[in-house]
Amino acid sequence: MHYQASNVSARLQGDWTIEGAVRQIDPLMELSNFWDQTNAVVDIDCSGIAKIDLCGFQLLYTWLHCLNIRGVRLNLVNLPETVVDTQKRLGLTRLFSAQQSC
Amino acid sequence: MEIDISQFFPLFFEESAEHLADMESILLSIDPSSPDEEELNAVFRAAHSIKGGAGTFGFPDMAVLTHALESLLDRVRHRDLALSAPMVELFLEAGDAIRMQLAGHRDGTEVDQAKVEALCQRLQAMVGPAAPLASSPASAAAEEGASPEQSAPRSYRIEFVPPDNFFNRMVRMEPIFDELADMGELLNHARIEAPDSFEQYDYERCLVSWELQLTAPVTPDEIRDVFMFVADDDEVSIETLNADDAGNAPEPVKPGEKAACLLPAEPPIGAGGGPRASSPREPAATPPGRKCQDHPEASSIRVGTSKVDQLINQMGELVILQAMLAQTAQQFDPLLHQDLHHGMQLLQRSTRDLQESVMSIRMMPISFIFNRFPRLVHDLAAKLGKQVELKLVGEQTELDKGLIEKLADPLTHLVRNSLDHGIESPQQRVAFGKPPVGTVTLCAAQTGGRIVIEVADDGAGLNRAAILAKAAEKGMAASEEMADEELWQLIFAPGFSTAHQVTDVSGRGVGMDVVMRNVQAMGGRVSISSQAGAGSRVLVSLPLTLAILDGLSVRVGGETFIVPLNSIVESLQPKPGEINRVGDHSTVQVRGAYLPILPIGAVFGIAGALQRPEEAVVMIVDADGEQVALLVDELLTQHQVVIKSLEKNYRKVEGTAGATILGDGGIALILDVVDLVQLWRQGRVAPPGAVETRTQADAANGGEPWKI
Repeated sequence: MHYQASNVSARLQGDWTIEGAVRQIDPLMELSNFWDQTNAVVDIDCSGIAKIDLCGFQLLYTWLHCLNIRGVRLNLVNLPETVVDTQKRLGLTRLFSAQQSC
Repeated sequence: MEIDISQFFPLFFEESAEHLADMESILLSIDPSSPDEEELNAVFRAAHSIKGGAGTFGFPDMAVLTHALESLLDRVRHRDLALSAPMVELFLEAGDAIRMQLAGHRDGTEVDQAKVEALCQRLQAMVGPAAPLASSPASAAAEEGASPEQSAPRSYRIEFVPPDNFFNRMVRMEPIFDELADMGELLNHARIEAPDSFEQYDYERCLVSWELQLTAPVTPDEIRDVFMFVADDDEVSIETLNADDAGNAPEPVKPGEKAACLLPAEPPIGAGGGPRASSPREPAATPPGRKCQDHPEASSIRVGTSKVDQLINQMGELVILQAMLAQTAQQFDPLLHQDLHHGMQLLQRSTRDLQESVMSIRMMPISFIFNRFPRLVHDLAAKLGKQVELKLVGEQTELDKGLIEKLADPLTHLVRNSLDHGIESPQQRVAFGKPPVGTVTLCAAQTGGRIVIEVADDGAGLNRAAILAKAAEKGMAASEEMADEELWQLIFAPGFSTAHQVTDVSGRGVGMDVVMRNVQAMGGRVSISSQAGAGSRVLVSLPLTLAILDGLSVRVGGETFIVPLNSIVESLQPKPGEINRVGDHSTVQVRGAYLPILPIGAVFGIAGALQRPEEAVVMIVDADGEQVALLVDELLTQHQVVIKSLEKNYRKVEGTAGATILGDGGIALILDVVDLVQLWRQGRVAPPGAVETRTQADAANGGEPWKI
């Protein structure tokens, strides 16, 4: 299980590279159905992300984007330093800035 | 998705090897006292590209060494340091070490780490403590002597739109953006074209694109080089911005912060990702990539040789099938079945065109081998204390790729021999009235259906007395009366060497016999000529391709043979007065010349073959400049035949170059006329009339006869 979900928070963990991304999709789908617009802001704890690459960031962004359309506001918290660094180096910081508080 | 990144390594290895070859070629021709700026830039770019690839594909050891090399080159090209001959030698050594690392990763061969570390230290020592290793172009450009193009920072808008399957390339973009950030000020802005429904999401499809703004004293080519290993030319567009555009740029990244995002704020996520800036399928607003733009002929794809071989094999089958159909069609009346015959003609023409096109895929210029020799000669000459000029002629002559690969070793042996044994020391040459600088010439040319490669030198030539003495010592049959041509053949005997001293260059006597064996294995021949004091010339003659040849089918007894068309001079039915018998053998007189008759029936022990030349046909063939007459029963027809190896399916049959499948499904041996002449010279051909007394086991190949 890659996620620990509660009413207001969830924790992402594991491999978010192209090799591990496939294993993240089903749990993310499950989480998508877990929330609706009644959850004003949901904190997503990213401290368990072991590694991430461009493919993983794209997956994460798409998930955030799709939930946002449904009125679910997510807030990424506890991003590991390596994740933030990779995000910066890939020029992705701005894309995630509205949803992120390190 | 489990992807093995190693599947991309061969491309990196291949491209790196090409960069190393380019680098070496330039370094060998560069004048250290006044180096050409463009040449220095080209060497730098080669090192830079290897470094970029090594970093991207995860070969840090190569990245470290190439970084040290690149740093020194960077200072040299910006005229911060003067190029010197020792520096060129160091660059060459570094190239060798990178090649060794490349081989280590590719083939698992041992890498001398101590050597690599020592080289890194030498490179860093030359860079000097005052300058940082990774001297940035920005700082370098500010230094005196930088070219105007490089000295003024310029702003570029770079758009990188990777294809949908970009993730499959398994490349990491972080080092690429880091490298751009090292060049100057970089603004990096990524976009993700996210779908509005997560159910539709395909995680393997890349939805990211980038728009970057770079302000740096670099050229568009240098920017494009950074993307070399991760993107195709049409995926990256680079636009030079004017001052106004650049002035509107967002706040630049702080030094050391790398490629942080600094462009204006993105619309809220809820607004959607928006369309991608442009699609690879749509023409970019800016001109396409440098390679496509500047070198349209360089547009190419890399295909595995196994695929090409498969294509050629299938082409061969098609040729056979076409021949079978043509033979079947001959049974139908041309008047009643005009359309069929017309169609067969068109099929034949198309098959031929297709075959030529397919065969051309495998053809490569011989420069692929020749280009390695400048370095070899440079190093060997220095080692031997000789002065040698290498001349390359006919480098664009094309040869089958399979032959090219096998030709490298024999030619290397020949060139090493020329330098070690042929070319004299400068003092000796001057004493002999020769210029101190010796010349080795490598020349390739296509003559008829063969490629002839010549390795010639203006050295001392073969030593007749020494060869005779060595032959006597080894108990070989040799005498003073032997003609030069015969005597030179002795040096092809295993273990034969007249060198007084065994060196690591040559002299162990393992060279020339290996040369002969390798060339013969390719269906080629080696001949040698030499003149004392004037030099030696070795000719290697090879078939143009190993796959298909034009031949004339002939009947001998109940069997069919193929004679390569390019060997045939003429065919005739001799009159009784033109036949002369000399002992057991016969000659035919053709326009005043007496040509020996080789009865094919006797060579292969075929009972029922015509024995009297007056009743049969003699086919005059050219065997490496010597004309002989093959005795056959009847000429049949001209064929284009697909050569099938006998060795693979049976064993080597002397006097043949392989076999082929005929249109009727039968098998025919393809004659090797030069080999036949050698058999005849060795007395292994029975005279006409003797066939009935021979059993098939006594046939010319010395063992079991070839049964068709």
